[in-house]
Amino acid sequence: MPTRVKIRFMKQTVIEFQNVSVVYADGFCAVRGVSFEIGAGECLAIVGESGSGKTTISRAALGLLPKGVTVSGSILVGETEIVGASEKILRDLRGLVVGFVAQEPFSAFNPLARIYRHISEAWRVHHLNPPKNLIIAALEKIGIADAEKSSRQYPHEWSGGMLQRAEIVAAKAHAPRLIIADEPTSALDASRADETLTMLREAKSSLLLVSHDINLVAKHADRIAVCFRGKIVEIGTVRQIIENPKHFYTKILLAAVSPEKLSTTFNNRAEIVLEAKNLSRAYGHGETMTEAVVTANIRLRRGEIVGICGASGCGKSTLLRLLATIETPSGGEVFLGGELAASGESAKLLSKKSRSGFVMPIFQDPLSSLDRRWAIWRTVTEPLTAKHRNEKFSRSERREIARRVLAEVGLNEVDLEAKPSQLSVGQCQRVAIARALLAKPALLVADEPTSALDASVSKTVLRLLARIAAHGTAIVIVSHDETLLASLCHQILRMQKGVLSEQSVYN
Amino acid sequence: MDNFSGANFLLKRAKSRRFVAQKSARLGILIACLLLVLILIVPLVLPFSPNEQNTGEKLSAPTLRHPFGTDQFGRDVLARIAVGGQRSLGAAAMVLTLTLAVSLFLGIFVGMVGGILESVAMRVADVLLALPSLVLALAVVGVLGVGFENLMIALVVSSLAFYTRLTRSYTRLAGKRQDVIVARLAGIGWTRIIFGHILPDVFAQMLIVATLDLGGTIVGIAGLSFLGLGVQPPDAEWGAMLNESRLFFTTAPWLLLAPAAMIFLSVVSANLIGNALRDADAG
Repeated sequence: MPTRVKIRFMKQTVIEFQNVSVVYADGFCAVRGVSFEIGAGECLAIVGESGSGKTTISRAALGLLPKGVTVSGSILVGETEIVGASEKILRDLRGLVVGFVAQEPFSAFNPLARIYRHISEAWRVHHLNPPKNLIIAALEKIGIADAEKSSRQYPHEWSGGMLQRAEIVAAKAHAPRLIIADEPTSALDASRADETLTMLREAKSSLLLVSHDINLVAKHADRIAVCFRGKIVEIGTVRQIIENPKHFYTKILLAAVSPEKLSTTFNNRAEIVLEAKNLSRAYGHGETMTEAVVTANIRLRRGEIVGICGASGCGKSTLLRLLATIETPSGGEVFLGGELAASGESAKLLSKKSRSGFVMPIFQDPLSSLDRRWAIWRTVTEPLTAKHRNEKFSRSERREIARRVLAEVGLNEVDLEAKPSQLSVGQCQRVAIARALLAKPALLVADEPTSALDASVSKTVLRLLARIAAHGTAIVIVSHDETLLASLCHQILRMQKGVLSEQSVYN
Repeated sequence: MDNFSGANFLLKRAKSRRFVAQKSARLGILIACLLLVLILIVPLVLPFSPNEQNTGEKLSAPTLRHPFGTDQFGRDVLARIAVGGQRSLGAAAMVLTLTLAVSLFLGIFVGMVGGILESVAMRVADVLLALPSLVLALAVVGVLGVGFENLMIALVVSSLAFYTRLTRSYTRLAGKRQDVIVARLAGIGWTRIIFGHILPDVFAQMLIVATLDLGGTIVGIAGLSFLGLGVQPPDAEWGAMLNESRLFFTTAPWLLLAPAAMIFLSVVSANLIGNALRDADAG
């Protein structure tokens, strides 16, 4: 057995960051002068939005940053300096002293290796014999049925939640002093997320938890550090942060948990914009047939906002595509403005309405819903060039219109000639909304319109949607986040395994 | 407020900068420039014409007067390399341009129409793909007759199936893009969608494929010419020069070396540039 580097622990502090800065090869400063420490058995949660540097912090603690990255300051694990440490020291540290749980369970596992192999690797990398019985027992303890047999399965046969728990088993293998978990719950639904964090806390190790969800970590962490633009702007006990946030950004994060109510009204007798009857969609044939949507009924009037919520894979996105006539149903009918637009009987579109800007979509990933080669003025005014519109606009007129509409969505200062890649994700989403607005749709279908956005930006987007509805556009909005829907919608329908509830769960 | 994500900073850099930043791209461009100088400038400066015979200097080894030596008729090899390069590289560029143009038209048309037409076209492409492209090219030359133009047509025909297939699948992918869906719902006609959204995207991707394929095409042209199916004597072309010099390779190896080195350098340069272009686009 090779000689090991001894990591000494003299103090109660397990890990200590002193004035740590991280600069990427292209000069981007991801972390600026961060200092904090974690005591033995303590759980510190770092919260912040994407790009705030929280992942970089967690990577730095394991010495896992890519080549060409400059780390300055000092990171002490026990009394061992990580910054500038040799690969050998780092290798001995990982797993034995510091465990790691990755964000995306499916990509953390090798798809070609069995689960048992992945877990036992925690021992094999350190040239130890994996204790088979212990591993099986640990798996059984976390609720994997028939662990002996299931551990011989491949990752694709397990669910995300099971894999994430298996990963925690591997991370806890050597009872490390510290476990670093980077968004360990982002692939899980709410109850599983809670379970997973409880499991992580049960280990006797200290925990560095990275998350964007301040609500969730508040339940499990001892202390919270709020990360904003590479700096830790506020750090304190959970109580201090939740009850008495000082920094404006902490307040924004907390506000996102209980969003403001954006109330709009609609007339109960207004004309019906969308009606779907017994809508269903199945894929495949015979035994392999899966029903994504089963006889869904829905009706929307002018200015009405309906939310559809459900876990990932419940068929809500498919339903939205059916309603927008992007896809044709395998059964049932869609009426747009009283005209039959699509039906299970015919693969063709039955009404010109569905290709006239009557329905406009807003997608989850704004970047890919804009043509990356087009300047944004061109994208925004594209609906004006539709063939059914008789008015023709010159390029300069289109630029002028684009400037006006972009100002409406709060993008006054954006360069009209910019390409989507030069804008932030939030700006792109607003460009997409501006484009939808210009088509003057009677119905807007939005598929997770805010899930790619930061807390503050998604607030702007929701306000924008409320304003659109106030002008008489009906909106169907799909999301996994019920609190978000509750802040905006007139009714919320729940979807489960392709079945849409008839009753609104909210009023 | 929402403009602080780290990813933005990286995205702001244009693809062209990512392309030039690669060492392989720089090396490829350097070789390409040297080759271009050789085939475009050298013939203007050189005192010899490529087909000018000089029986007094048969098979002379490289000298200051003839840096690449002379061939069995006393013709200056450098001059022949330069003029032959114009033909070889010009033909390769021509073949790829033609292939791209035809396959973009066919592939996008077939991909957008879909249905039975698409199935039939793709099965035909499968059959053509099953034939080795050099054999197919030989067959086409056999039908059309020997000649440099016919050789180019043969190469276009033999690579068309592959290109059309690829264009069609890129078209299918582009047709499913969200910006295309939005345009459809807004009521934009298919013609506008094809020319505005699909063609620019498919063209850019196919151009990268074509650049990667440039080396293969250069070798293909040289190969068919080596077999005597392309340029006819006394005109120079790299593959044909290899063929002519094959009889003298024990006594005058420079005759073989010069065109072989040129083919090698142009293929390397094309591959380096193609790879760098692909990486710049993916990155």
